[in-house]
Amino acid sequence: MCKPANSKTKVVCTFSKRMDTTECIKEESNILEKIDKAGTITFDMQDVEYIASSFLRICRKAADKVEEGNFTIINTAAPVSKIFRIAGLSKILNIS
Amino acid sequence: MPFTNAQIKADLLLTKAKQAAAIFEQLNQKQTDKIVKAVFEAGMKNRVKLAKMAASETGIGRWEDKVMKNVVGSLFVYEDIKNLKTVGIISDDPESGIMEVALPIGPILAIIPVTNPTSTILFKILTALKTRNPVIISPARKAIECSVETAKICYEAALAVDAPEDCIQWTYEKSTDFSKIDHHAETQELMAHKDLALIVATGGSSIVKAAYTSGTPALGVGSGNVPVLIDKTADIPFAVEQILISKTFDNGTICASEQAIVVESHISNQLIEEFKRQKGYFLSPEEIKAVEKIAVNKKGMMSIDVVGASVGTIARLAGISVPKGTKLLLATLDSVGKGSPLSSEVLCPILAFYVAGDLDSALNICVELNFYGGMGHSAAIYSNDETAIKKYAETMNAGRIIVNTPSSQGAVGNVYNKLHTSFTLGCGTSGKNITTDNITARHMINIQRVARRRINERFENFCKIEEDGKNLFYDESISITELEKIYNKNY
Repeated sequence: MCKPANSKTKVVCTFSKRMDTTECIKEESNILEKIDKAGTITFDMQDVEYIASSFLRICRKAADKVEEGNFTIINTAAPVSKIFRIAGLSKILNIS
Repeated sequence: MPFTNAQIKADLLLTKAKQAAAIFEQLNQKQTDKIVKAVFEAGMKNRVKLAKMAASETGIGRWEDKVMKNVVGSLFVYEDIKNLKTVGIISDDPESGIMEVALPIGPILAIIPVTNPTSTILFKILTALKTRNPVIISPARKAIECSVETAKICYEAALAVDAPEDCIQWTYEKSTDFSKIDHHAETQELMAHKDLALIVATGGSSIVKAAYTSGTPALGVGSGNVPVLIDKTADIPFAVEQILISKTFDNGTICASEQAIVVESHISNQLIEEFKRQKGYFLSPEEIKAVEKIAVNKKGMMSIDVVGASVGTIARLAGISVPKGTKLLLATLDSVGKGSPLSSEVLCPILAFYVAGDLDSALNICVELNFYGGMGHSAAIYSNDETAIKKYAETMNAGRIIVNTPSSQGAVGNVYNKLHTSFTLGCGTSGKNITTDNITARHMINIQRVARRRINERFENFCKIEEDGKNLFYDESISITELEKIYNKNY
């Protein structure tokens, strides 16, 4: 799910279609461990169709681990991008 | 300027609510309905426990009747909304070309009254979740414990079937020390918060007014001063029985309960005897004075001491003696207004009683009562004369005209009639509300309309008719009648 990219401190994470509560509980500690020492974190949402409240929490935790501007969420489908907007997180989490 | 505690608290509640709203928007109808069913079942399962808590904590009403309120607030509400389409495409009419799409409205603040705390919470949570809106419960100060318990039970049930986190929140805990917080400021901040979508305010006039002036869209209620007209065609024993069912229910705490009987003189003696037979007690003039003092305060508002009080308690407070087993106190009055304090709304087993010469006189008294603190709320009539019923309906200013049924249960809906079940009864503009509807899930969605091309054929044909190259709409010499005729030609 999370791999180093380009440099040791840059990590890119990809996710399954449905990041529901069960999936988030299963993957959270794994994700947080992989991004623990990252300098830059990117969440690639290419395949994601659904996110649960716990996924928003993972995003916030990931954003807190790095300096402002070094956490981005990319390739969000419009319905998912809308979710981040409604939640008031699109600017904080640097969605594109 | 630093943020106040009230602002910080409001921000925290709405941040969570916004995130819940975002997650909720992804759910389809099936997922949404699964959550609603789970919450309804949890509410029903705990109906007795919550009713006892409410009666004990507030000291208002009777727990047995609060159980029935909880049944209405859960089962009846659920049955009313369970098949409603509230997600995605909810209608598509090929003929008009209009497709309707339902969207949630966003976070809802639910103001809860002390008179019906648990049942109102059940109702508001079910309708909010059915429409995918997170809800923040703002309980009455004297009903915190039972309100929080109700909200928690619903929240746990919702979470167990994958509802979004924070889809249900509440503003205070059982342990809240109100001496250390500015309750008024906190409520104001919450109501005016930029991320709040809607306030559903069930309560007294001051809180409803605060909701409407907050800047956030609001659905509120008004006060009721429900007149009951009993005309000469009424079935008297039946009418009295039904009125007692209503006015004694939860010791008269429902705002739609009867406040005054207005009877035509031809049948007044018969009605009085029937009330006496069914354990109604007519107060003497001295007793009326004694009851006025404890039931209505100096500002002309009902005293909190009598709200939901039993006949025994009212008698004790007034220092009067009534026969054992008395179910209802009746005060024969000859005017409406400040000179007759019991002509105003009093939510307990006291009824004003008026005798009128004829139907028109009776209607006049009902109008006076209606205008004296009850505009837009409810009115009731016992009659078997359809003309009289229609005349009453056209004369009164009330969102609900209840016919030959108990007014309390009748107005709430779906018990004795086909009105939608609700614990928030709109009073229309006369009551300073935006609607006269019984508020329900239908009021908590934004409907988007997709409008496909469907030409207005008459307009198109009309535009083709040109005389000397000029469009007829520009020709002021043609009469409106002629224009209308041409417009509708062959249609």
